Amino acid sequence: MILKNIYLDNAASTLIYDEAYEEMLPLLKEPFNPSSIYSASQNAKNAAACAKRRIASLIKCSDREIYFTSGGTESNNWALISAAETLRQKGKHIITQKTEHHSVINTCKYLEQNGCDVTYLDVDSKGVVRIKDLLDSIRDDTILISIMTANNEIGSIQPLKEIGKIAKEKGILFHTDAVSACGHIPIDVSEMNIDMLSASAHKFGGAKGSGFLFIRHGTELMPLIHGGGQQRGKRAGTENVPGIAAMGKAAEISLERMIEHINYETNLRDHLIKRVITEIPDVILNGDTDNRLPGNISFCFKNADGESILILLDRLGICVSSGSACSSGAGVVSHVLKATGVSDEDAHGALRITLSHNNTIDEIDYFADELKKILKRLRGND
Amino acid sequence: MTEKLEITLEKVKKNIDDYILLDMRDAVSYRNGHIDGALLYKDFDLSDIKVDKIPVLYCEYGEKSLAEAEKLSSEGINVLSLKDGFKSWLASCFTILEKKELERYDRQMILPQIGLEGQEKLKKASVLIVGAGGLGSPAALYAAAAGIGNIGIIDGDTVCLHNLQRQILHSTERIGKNKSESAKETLEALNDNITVKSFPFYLTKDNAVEIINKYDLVIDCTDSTDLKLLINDICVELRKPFIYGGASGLTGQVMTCIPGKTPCLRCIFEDVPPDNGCFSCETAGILGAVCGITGSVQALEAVKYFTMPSDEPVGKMFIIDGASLRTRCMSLKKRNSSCKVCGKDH
Repeated sequence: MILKNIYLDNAASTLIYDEAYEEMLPLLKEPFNPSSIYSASQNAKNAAACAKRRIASLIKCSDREIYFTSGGTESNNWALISAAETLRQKGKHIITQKTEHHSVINTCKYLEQNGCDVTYLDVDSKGVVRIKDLLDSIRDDTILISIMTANNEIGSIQPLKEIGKIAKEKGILFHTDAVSACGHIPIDVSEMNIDMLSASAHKFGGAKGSGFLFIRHGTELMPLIHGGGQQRGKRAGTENVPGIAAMGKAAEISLERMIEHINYETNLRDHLIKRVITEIPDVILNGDTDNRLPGNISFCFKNADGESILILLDRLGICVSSGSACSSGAGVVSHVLKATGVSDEDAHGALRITLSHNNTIDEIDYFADELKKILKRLRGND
Repeated sequence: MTEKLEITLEKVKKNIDDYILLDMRDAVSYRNGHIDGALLYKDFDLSDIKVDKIPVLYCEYGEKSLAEAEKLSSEGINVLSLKDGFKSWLASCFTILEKKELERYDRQMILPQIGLEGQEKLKKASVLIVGAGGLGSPAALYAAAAGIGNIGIIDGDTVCLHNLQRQILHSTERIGKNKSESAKETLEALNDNITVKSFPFYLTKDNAVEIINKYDLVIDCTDSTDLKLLINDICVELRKPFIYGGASGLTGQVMTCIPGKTPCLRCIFEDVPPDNGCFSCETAGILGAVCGITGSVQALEAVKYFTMPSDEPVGKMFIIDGASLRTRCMSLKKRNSSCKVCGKDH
């Protein structure tokens, strides 16, 4: 019996890379502010500059286009709120879609209260937006399209290249929330015509509390956070240098090992999906079989509560998520599953398993064995 | 106030007729599984309640139900909230312990310090017992009997006739057999719900790290100062807790060492004392029952380490004198910062 913790909730947060951890440690201790003039603070300044270059290589942009934030939520808030404000003269219409993260959906709701019109596009049963719907929804006063790169709950990857092309042709600003995807699948902001991209370090092997927003050069965007003149006046506040350094290192490693990790995680993922689908009755795989993040698996088990499955797995030291971490405890059915047409009833049995390169085939098999037993007992067949 | 509004599942179960359970979750979750006899709260009129029954609300984790109970009780309605909610019920129905284990450990699970949770912790725990002799016998027997799920026992020695007056793991017919293998046989016969691994050789500098690393805790039941210090040094290096024990003549001593928290052996005894400073069973003699007391205290410390961490003795040496039946719990000085093993510079 395996009794150590088995961590299968990598979409909630990832294990920090050893190398990233090492990089941030000395910076946590030293007092220097990267904005200071004296030479002693040069190290902090260099660390931030180096991180910028590494992140820029990951998403194929220039290092001058990277702005550090406190994470994905701030990046999304900044992109949406400031775009709406900056482009107020031009229009008030924003297009997004129904399976976005709450930091996009709720920011859009806030903007609606402040005079914006927001179109929330439907998705198909695989969780992907239809290009035709997007084209139909574009108006003369559309100022922003915000579509996530990949979904955090069901892993569906959106057709960014096509969306970017349309946005460019129509002269509409294009933002993508890449929190779940950045560092895990290739992203090229030039090829995809992305104007703004949000990401969070702890989702790709960095530390919590740091993230970034890519803003294409030439894109006018007001600051969201006002204060000193840090980050060329765009984002005030002393930079979280240790977190930034770790994020930079994590970006570098993610890029280096991306293909290796994709292959490894995809194999584990498909192995687990196959086992669960063939060995456990009455289960639905949410999202698509192929077009999904390498480490993402999302199931709905009929006649069982995801929360109960989670509690019982927890007792065996297995960490997974029911639905999405952000909504657990809130007692509401996942808006993502709802948007893909899953019934309320089935959505109660949602379970999200997200793998990383640290997981092993033995862990996956142990998990599948135990999950099988738990469902048998919960459904009263045992 | 808040505490008074919470009730544990055990208490509800004991007097089930006094309570009526109300499930606050939605109808689908209720249909997918609820506590036996519970009703859906949404469909229930609290004013309808019979005077002799106290309503107990529960949600998934016991937080929302507590808030609701607080609200209702401030309005003068007498309700309780189930502590840890539906989760506690699931845990009690879906324990990792098998039925026969629940019966086997029933008498110790009655203890509030152990309970179901503690017994599950013991099942998940792993302990390495170094030495299957006078101390190792009672320590291993009680550790196995208590349900420590994974026990390793290492000893390169063979059973001799003169061992049997104290080494109760072994028997006359096992004379000539390796002690760790004899121990495995005895322990497996005692408790077939646990896993026992025997290492039929001595712990040495070369194999110690690899073997100790596999276990959560080490019980030192050796009779050699060199080995005791080796266990100490490796455990400090690996940050592995260990329970030191020693018995000679009519006295015995036990100390739990948690590296980083408590003093280690080297903080007290810097090095191996000169030859005449150490007594062995061969030269000083030993009474079996003294080993029994000492090894039993070591097993007790091991069980406590996994189930009641707050009762960890911090840096105390327990000493018993079998002649006078006096015991002492000697407080040791704080960690020695110049200790050559666990001190600041190392």
